[in-house]
Amino acid sequence: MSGWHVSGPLAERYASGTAAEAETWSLEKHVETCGRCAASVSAAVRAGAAGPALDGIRAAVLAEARRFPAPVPGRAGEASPAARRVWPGGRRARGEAAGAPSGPPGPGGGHPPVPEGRRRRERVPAAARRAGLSRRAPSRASRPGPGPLARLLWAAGPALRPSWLTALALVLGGSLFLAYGVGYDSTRPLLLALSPALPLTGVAMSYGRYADPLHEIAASTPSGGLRLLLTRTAAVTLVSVPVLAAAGALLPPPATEVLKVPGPAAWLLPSLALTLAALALGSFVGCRYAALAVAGVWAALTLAPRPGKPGLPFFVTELPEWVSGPSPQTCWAAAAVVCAGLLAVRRSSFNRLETL
Amino acid sequence: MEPDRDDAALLRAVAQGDADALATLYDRHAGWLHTRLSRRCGDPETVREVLQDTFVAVWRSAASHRGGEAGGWLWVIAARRLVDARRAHARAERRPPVRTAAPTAPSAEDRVLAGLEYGDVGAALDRISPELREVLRATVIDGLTTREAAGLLGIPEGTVKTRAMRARRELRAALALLAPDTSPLGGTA
Amino acid sequence: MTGTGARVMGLTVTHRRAIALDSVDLDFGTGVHGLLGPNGAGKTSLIRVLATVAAPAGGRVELLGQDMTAHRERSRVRRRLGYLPQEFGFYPGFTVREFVAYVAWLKEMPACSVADAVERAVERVGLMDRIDAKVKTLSGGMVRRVGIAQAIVNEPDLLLLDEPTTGLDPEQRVDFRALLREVGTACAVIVSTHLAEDVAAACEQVTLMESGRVAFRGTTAELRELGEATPHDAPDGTVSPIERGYTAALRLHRASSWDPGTAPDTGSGSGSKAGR
Repeated sequence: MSGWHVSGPLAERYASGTAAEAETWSLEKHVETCGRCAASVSAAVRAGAAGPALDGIRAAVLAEARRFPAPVPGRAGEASPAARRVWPGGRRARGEAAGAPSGPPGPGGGHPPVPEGRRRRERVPAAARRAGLSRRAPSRASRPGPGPLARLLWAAGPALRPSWLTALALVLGGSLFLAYGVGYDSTRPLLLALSPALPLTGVAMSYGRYADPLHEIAASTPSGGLRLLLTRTAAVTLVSVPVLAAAGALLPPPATEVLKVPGPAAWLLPSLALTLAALALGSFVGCRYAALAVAGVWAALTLAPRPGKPGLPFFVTELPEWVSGPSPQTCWAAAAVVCAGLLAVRRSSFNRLETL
Repeated sequence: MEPDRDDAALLRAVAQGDADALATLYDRHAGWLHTRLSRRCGDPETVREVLQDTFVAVWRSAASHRGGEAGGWLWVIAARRLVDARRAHARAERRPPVRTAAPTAPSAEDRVLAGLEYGDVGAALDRISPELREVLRATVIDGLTTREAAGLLGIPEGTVKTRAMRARRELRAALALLAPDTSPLGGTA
Repeated sequence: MTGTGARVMGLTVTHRRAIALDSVDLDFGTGVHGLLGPNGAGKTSLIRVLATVAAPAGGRVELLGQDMTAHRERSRVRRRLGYLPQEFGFYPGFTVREFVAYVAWLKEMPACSVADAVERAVERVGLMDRIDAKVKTLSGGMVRRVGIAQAIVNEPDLLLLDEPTTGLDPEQRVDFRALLREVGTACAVIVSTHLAEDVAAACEQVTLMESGRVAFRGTTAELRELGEATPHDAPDGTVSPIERGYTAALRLHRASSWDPGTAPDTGSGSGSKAGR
């Protein structure tokens, strides 16, 4: 039907309701994609009996629009300050003033604005928006929906709980204190030896009803299983790795030469392997217990004193050989691959409340 | 085509908070939306409500419209809100939903005109019963799912399916009957 | 997805070493089904299994015509599912819109339809005026309505609600029942509740459970008739017919499952099985 458009008489017939069925169908479908015909049909309708009603609705829509300016998902500086007023979430009240928004929109703007995934620069207008806001405590401006970055953050959120972050900070602080305050020589190797266990505790702490308030709902959704788990594990690892590397750099190297201390880079593969092993184990017994178990075993191994050589913990003597050098690293890499494979095979078992 | 570009540009402007763009969009589309809605729902108050809700929703979520045609997108929003409104009314008042208004019978001249322009299809459509036509229209033209069509027309989902099948069957039969006339399909327009 | 409703065959569920559901056979079609029973009857266990959140210890589960043992079918069905657990939380700082949108995302709804679907779901539960308010500022009943909104956001074919009217005042309960009736015209809704009135007002079919077994299965009208037919000693008007039916059915079930061969001091014949 290329080139077919709505003729004037047809538009009039449609507006007055006298058109035949088939041609109205054609018109209705056509007008969805042709703005010119849409405008001409609308003009015909406005000229007819529905005109006054249309004008009334037009006024109401514009009144609503002026009262609640649309959000500006935009580039910095483009929106006028007036447009930055928040939308208190008022629904159109039938012809009456919507009045003050019902219900307190929540305590101050302390919560960081949720960024739109596509427009990272929204951080700037968001901050400006907060600054330009009315004194009334703002609610989030109405927007078409949170972006993918926001959703990733929420998915990862339970993993980055304040309690875990505090624990991480304590570990850091404690190790700094040990090194500089108490003067314990081998703080750095100790921290590095324990570093694979730290993301694991983070993973363990992000599961279950206490960590994830939505866990039961999430368990009934298609995405709630392994995908969420991996997102959280990735978040935890991404946070802990730089922190631990920085800590490793800050701590003084041990004085005694005999201790060959592998650098932080050497611990990455063991971390990865252990995390994957914990997740794979978690497909059998539940992530929380699996992560705690693996972390516990690792910590015990590194801290246990070696039989026969009293006074020196395992990590000081044996661990460096188990970690540094090409062949141990290859072994760790292989272990990581094996665990990843096991995880892939068991991926469908991450779908029950108990294993999540 | 300039109007199409204008539509996309208008929507972008609306997403930026330009109320005048919204007004222009309204002038361009509200007319046909109103008529199209009125043909599906006989209650003028509901139609007005749905139309207003649609444009307010456009104001709020113009940014979520990804390219494509504005008219189709507007219709989808309006249709869903109409289905919701009908369900809400059926719930609140507990009486059978308002039947769609029967369109004014076209005059003899109009029918001839229509027959000339649309040939067999138009005549065939006229032959099948109104409720079958309604189901066909809801599922084919309006793009509603079976469930939404059921909500809109106030009939059970199963009935929607059987009527849609019957409508297609009867349409085919009617077209077959008319085919010997060899009048051309499609138009003089 | 061609099937509708849910079916369980020989379903056995254990909860911490106790049998919560004992070889139960049930089937639910389109419409609103009520699940009634005292605490510990196994209602929540059944709902959890139907929501694919808990694994059965034995038996078969079929949802929307698909068998639930394979992962792919589970994922497919989960997209068409709506679930409101008895207790749920939310991330602090979530607004109503964000909460429902997050769940819509978890349910893998197509991204372009999420925004509109969220608004429509929130409108159906009557919280449109608070859609951008933080969930933590809402009262208990409103939070539960937000929970209902997340359950219906994807227009599910199977809707499972565990004690959905907790915290709702009588007027909200009336609205909620109307919503249930409307939703139930197109999909299978299973509502677990201990309030007989919820069942009477919204549900066409009732399943009464006790101690992991089915005590009564039939229409609401039949339960009411049972109540009216059974003599009772409560003063007229204080106990509704449906509540009387509930008590009568329970009593009948206990009586019929009492095994005269066992010694009298083992307690009621329905067994000492604990459940959830």
